[in-house]
Amino acid sequence: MTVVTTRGPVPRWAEWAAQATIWCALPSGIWRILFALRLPAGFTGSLDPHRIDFSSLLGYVCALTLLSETLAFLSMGLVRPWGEVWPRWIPFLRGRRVHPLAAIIPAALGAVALMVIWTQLLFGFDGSDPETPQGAKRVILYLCYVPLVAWGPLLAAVTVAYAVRRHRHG
Amino acid sequence: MTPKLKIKLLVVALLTAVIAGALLATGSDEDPSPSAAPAAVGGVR
Repeated sequence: MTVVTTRGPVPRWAEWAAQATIWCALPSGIWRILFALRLPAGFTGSLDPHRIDFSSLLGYVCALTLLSETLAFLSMGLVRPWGEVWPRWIPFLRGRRVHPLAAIIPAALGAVALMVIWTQLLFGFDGSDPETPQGAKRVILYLCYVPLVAWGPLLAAVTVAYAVRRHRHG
Repeated sequence: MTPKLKIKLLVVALLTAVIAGALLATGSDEDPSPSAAPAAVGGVR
């Protein structure tokens, strides 16, 4: 068996940061799925999930969670060989070198977008609408969504580590 | 399945159980909207 390694050593902190992005997106995904499964998440009135078709809502939140976890998983490419050479299962590109900017530009833009989106959403949520979660349910919602604020800075840090490594080792 | 993956799946299951438990432990959703008021009154009767 051939073990493929990255060009140049990946700093330990970058490896941890890349893995942390996956875990940052997880609690909110779990919360969303439980909300769609009609667990009492605190939304009432016009926001009551019972007013929305069960299978549509569940399908939507599962797709959203899968998308966010897939995007989070892409940060692993910045610390793995498949971020340097296109893997075999990708047609037309397999085996070719990944141009550093092809990874750095989307990752950097993604990091900025994540920082703007999650900081605004989380700290802009004042909870004044009585139909949104209140009290303990609001705390649970916050605890599940707060890790998302770290996603952007973590991705930015991993992107910098990737850029430095590719600059030094090609 | 590698031991590392087993541990990760276990953590995901544990996290799910904790969040579900917290949502259930904090009680059911009550509708404070005006549209729900007649139903609430009916319930009192």
